[in-house]
Order: sequence, then C-alpha cells, then structure tokens
Amino acid sequence: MEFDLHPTVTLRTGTFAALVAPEDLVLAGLNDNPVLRRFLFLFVSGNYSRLLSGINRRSVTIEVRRAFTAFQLLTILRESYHTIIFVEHDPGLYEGSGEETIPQVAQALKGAGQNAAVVLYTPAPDSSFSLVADGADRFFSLSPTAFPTLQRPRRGGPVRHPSGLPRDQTTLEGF
Amino acid sequence: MWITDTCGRDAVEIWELTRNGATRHHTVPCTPSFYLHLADPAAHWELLEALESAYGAEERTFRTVHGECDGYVVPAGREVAMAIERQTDFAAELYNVDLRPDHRYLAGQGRVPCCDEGESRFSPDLPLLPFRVIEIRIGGIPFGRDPVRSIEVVHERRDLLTGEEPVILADLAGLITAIDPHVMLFPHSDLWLPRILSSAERQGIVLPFSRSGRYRKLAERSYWSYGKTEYRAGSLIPDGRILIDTTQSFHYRESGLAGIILGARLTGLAPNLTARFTSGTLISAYEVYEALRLGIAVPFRKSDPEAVRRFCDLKAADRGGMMFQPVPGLYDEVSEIDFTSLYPSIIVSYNLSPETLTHPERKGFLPLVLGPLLELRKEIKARKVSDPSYAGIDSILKWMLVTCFGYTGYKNAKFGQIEVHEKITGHARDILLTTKECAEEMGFDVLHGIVDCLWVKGGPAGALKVRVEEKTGLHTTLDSYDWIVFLPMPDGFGAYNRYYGRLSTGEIKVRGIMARRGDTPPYVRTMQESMLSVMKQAGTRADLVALEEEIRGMYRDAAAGLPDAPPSSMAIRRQVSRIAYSRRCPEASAVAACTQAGIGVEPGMEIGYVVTDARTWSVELDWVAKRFDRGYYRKLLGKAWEEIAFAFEQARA
Repeated sequence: MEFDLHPTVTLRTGTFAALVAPEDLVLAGLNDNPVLRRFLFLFVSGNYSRLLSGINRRSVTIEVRRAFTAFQLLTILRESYHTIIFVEHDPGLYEGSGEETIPQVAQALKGAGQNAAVVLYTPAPDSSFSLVADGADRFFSLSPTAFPTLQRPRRGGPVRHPSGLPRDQTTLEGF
Repeated sequence: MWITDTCGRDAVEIWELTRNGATRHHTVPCTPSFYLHLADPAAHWELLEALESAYGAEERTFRTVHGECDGYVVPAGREVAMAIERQTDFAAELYNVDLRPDHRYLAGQGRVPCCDEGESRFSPDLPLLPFRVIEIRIGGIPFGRDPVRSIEVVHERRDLLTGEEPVILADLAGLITAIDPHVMLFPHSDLWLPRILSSAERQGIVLPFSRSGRYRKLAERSYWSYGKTEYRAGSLIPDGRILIDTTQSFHYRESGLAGIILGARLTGLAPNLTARFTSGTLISAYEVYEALRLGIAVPFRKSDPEAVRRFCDLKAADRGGMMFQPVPGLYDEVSEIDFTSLYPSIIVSYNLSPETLTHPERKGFLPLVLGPLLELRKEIKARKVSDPSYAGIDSILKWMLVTCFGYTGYKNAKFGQIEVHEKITGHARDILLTTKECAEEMGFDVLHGIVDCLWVKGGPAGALKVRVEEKTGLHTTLDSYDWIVFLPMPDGFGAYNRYYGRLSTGEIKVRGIMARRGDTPPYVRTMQESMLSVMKQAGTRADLVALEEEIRGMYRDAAAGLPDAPPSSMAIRRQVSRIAYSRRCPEASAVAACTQAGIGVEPGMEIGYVVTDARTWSVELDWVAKRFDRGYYRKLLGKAWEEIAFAFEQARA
C-alpha cells in the first residue's frame, strides 16, 4: 500500500516516516483522502492535538486513540493492527518520567513500521521529536514557502484551488 | 493522640501530640516493596530469577481496581522497578512503586494525621484543635536583600522583635523554644525561611523551627493546570511542627487551619503537605490512601490508553460542558438552580470508574471512595447555612470534589480514564437539558445555563427544585435574585461568565467582573465594590434607577481622585506564563524589572506591577512604584464603570 499525503510525500507500508510540515498541508492531505477510506487508518494524538479539530467530521473511516503519556503511546503501538498509523508528536509525553521512554518509542514506531505505514508528524520539531525521528526510514521536511499548501476545504462548501498548483493536484476532496 | 507530622526517609518518622500537650517522636522501620505483573512471565524468566535471588521476589496475587492479578511482590525500591521497566521495554505492569512511605504506613495502620483513634475522618465536627499556634510576621520585602529589622510574633501576647538581624534572630529562637508551638503561621515563609536560616547559621544561632534540626525540601516547579502555567515556590518543611505559608497556601487562604486539618484527616498526608499541595494532589492522595486501605494496588505508570474509536464517535463524545448563552440585560425575580457537586455526584450516581466501563455491574472504585466525601460535603454545606464557621472546611471539600472530575482525565491520574471523564460530561449535558425541559414545561423562561446551574424567570422556583431533584436524583440548591445583570461581550452577545445581581437575602453575587478578577488594581476594585455595595440597597428596578446619580458620582469622584492615588493602589497582579516574550507587553516588562531587581522569575509566578507608560508598556514593580500612567488607569476605571452603568441603562429602558 502506498498513498500520497502531498504531491511530494508518498508513504508506503513497511516504512516509518518522520514528517515536519505545516498543519494545513497535512490536513488537506488527510481530509477526505479517498485512499484513507480503503485502509485501516489510526490517528494517534497526544494531550493537545493541533490537527484533530481540523479533520473533517465526515472522515468516518479514521480511527483515533489519544496517548496522554509515553507509556500509553507504547501500548497503542503494541496493540495497533492498522495499515496506516499517523502519530501526532506531543513533546509533553516525554516530560518528566517519560523522557526515558524515548528510545523505546522510537523502537516501537520502527517496529510498527514493519507491517504498516507509520508517520510521526510535527509542525515544529523539538528535541524529543528529533530523538524519536532519528530511527525513521524517511524524513520529510516541508516548509510553506518552499511548497504551496493545499487549503483546508471548508465544511460543506466548494474546494478552493490555491494558485500555484494545477487544479488536478488539489482534488483530495472525496465529494 | 494526634499525629501532627510524618515523613519517610530511611524509616517512617512520626510526631504525635499527646493528651498533655507534649510531642512524641517515634520511628518505624520500613522496607519498600512493589508488585509486578508480566503478561508473559516465561519470556522474562531470567529477570524473574534474578529478582528472586537478589531481592527475594515471590509470586503473589494482588488486587487492582480491575480485579485480581497474578504477579510478584518485589521487596525493593523505585530504582529496581525502573530497571525492570527498561529490561522489559516498558511491558511490565508495576504497582505501589512511587508511594510516600509514611502515607503507605498510615494507610496500612488505618490511621490519619489530626484524628484520634476510633474517631471518624468523615465527621463534620472537628474537635477543638489542641495546638499552640503562633504567627510570625517579618517586616520588609521578602524578595529584597536588606537585613531583617523587625519580626512580630503573635501568640498569647504580641512580641515585636527589633534591632540588628543577629539579635532579632536570637530572640526569635528563644521565643520559639519557650512557646514550643505546634503550628506556625508565617506569611511568605517559603521565601523568608531559607534566608533567615542561612543568616542564623552564619551567626551561629540555631532557629528551632524544626524539632529535629532537619528540613525536607519541596522543589519549586512550574506546571500547566487548567490552561494556565502555575508556579509553586520551593519550600523548606520543618520536622515535627506545622509550618504554613499563609500567603502562598491556597488551602489556608480558602479554608483556614480547620480546612488544612480536615484535608490531612481525609488524605492521610501530613498537614505540612496538605497546606502546600494543590487540590488535585489532595484528591489523588485521598484516592491512593483509600486504595491502600482497601488493599488495592496503585499503578505506577499510566499505560492503559483509551479504546480505539472512530473519529466521529470521538467528536460526539468529547464535547465538554453544556452552556446556554444569555441575552444581555437586567432581569427581575430570577432563580438560580444549582447542582451540588454535580460531577462527583454523577460519578457516584452513575457508578463511573475506569473498571466499570467494561464491567458496569461492579461497584466502581471511584464511586466507592467519593461517596463519603460527597455526603460530608452535603452535610457541611447544609450546616454552613446556619453556621458560617463551616465555610472553611466546606471550601477544601468543594475544591477536592471539583478537581476529582478533572482528575479522571488527567494524564497522570492513578485511577483516571478519559472515557470516564467524557461520560461524566455527557451525563452532565443530559442533566442540564432535562432541567431546562422541566423548567420550560412548568412555564419558566430559561435565561442562562452553565454546566451545573440554570437561571430561570417566572416566579418562585421551589416546585422546580423538587421536580428536578425527583427527575435527576441529584441534590440542588436554589438562590433567588431580586434582580440580576447578564453583561454583554464586545460583540453584543451575552457573556457566559460575567454577571452580578442582588440575592433575596440582600447580598450581592458577582462573577467575572472587575471587582472579582484577580488582576484588577485595588483602586479600580475598590470603586466597583463601593458601587455594588450601594446597589445592594436596591430591591427593584426602580430602586436602581433612583441610585444611578449617586453611583455615577462615585465614578466621577474616583476619576477625579485618580491623579492623587498612591501608585501602590494601581498594582496589577498577574501570573506570567513564560519568561521570554517576543513582543512588548506589560508582563514582559515586569519580568525584565524583576530580573533587574535580582528576583529570579519562573513561569507561573505572580508578579505585581504598575504600568507607568502604556504606549511602551513600561512598568515598575508594585513595591517600588513611584508613578503610574493616568490615562491607562482612567481607561480601566471606565471599563469598571461600564460594567455597572449597563445595569442603569437596562433599568431605565
């Protein structure tokens, strides 16, 4: 299985990818992505998610688990059976006693990536992200200035096509 | 015999107050131990063999909130537990690892501080406190570096110690030795104590705050709580005496000494800790104490995440509390129906606990342990109506019960689970909707609603209270207002949390306006409070209109008197959420001013400052401020006046 989160970001089963990108770009890639409807997709967030509120309510195929501690994240990764696992990085998970779990989380992401497409995402990398992402098979870093982003579709409204991208590359909407 | 202080070092140390007023110290040896459960023990046979030979680990069946669990008891400390975690790649489940030895010992013995043996911890009647209490006040600025010039000690009489610092400290040492207090109330003690102890040591003076000469150190820390950065100053806790920083201790300010004592009885923590911990830590300690008392193991790590859910299910479940937006205005004869401790009541009534999510037929741990707290709160709240002396202990219970809900969703809660948190808010939304429907069916107009209370108009609401209690099975209280003002937001729609009104008892109830906000300068607050105390006389809309000129005059007087007001009355007190700011703002200037004055600032600290130029956000620290920006403070006065003037506009309409 492989799917495009962005024209320049192709994710494949059997890989653990780290992604640094603006939120709107990622949301545009996730919302109503027809590929995601065909596979078991797990979205894992932390204590505070930047993406959850922006994910389209109609994305009924997305399954969610929130990890409030690094220990919960390890359990989630151990228990996951999904084809695509998207982990939104939360540095708060590694504060205090969670710090010592960083190597284990990195290892668990790598392990989960053997049978699934695993993505560790952050809009702004920090030290714990860098440590966890160190074991990633692929590292994508997209900046809004270098790559025009897909605007997040308005709920129920028409999709806007940002200038700078051909129209046929913006049709991630599933309606 | 009352336990007044405990601590756990190599052994558990206990200080007890005997019936003749003497203090007895004794030590109980303690060996740490914890429980270990492995899903696949065979995969870790080498580890288990090593634990058995090195520490004497044995197979043991123990109880968790989810039921009985086969595992091992390991007579070793935290370091060993953490080594097991690493070796098992955090697959091991560990219990009873990070407990306070003294807390664990008392729970095992069924004892708590400040409570005679055989006496109920849940009794609303606290016995007369058998303590010798002194108050110590040091003159001067605790952040400054000037030597101490005066100390006031209040006990049976008032002693004022003055002179050179070494003389004063020697006198203070003599007084403490002579009085031998059990409780010391000491404003800013967390800041003063390290300073005067180190100064006394340099002079060769022993200050006998601690009975053993030793102090436990509670580290300073900044933490995130309810969307705000909070700060707890570091503390030195003396052995054997209760030392309360009356300025820093939230529970002392809210509940007084009786509240601290009740907190210690309920949680099993020493009063020194009860006075310093947050409500969340107290409720957590209470739950841990109850678990240990019931023989339930306390999990070390929170590793059980929420179940897998579809995105749309999560969105439907995780919606928080229900609100009805008010239409701004002045309303006569309004009733407020308020659920007593709604969220904890829901936990108890609906049997909500992590283990009942999968086994709803079981009696849940949280309902079991919160039930007695809830009953105690209801009893104390009822008594408070006729006896205000219960207000203090009511307050600490209120805060513990308020946080017990939030704690179910807290990432480190030992007995929390986010689905329980969501179910509580889900039931609360249904209950508020049911209450609204009842009110409308009975012909009331619903004006406003926030999570656990509803404001209705349409005559006496006694019958509504009865009907709502019948329908929901939950206890409510009813307040009647002669008039109430719901203020608008800047966009003209009603604000959820800014209102004030006159209760039928003649008292004014205020929420969210400048008189209530913690960062309002005293000068502005005093003006608004004075206005409200005049408005208290108005029982009707017409009475309000009649008072308008008098109150408008108060605004004019305050504005006219502003230039001559002392700068200290313009102090704004705010918590700083960070210490590095990328833009100009008064908090950034206040942090810079503190740094310049040699005061270390940490996120969450409260700083008092006076704005001296709002164009550049220049400020001076409140205790050294010599001037203020009149234009800026005139605007603040104007804002406070607008909140009051809105009532008159509406009354005249």
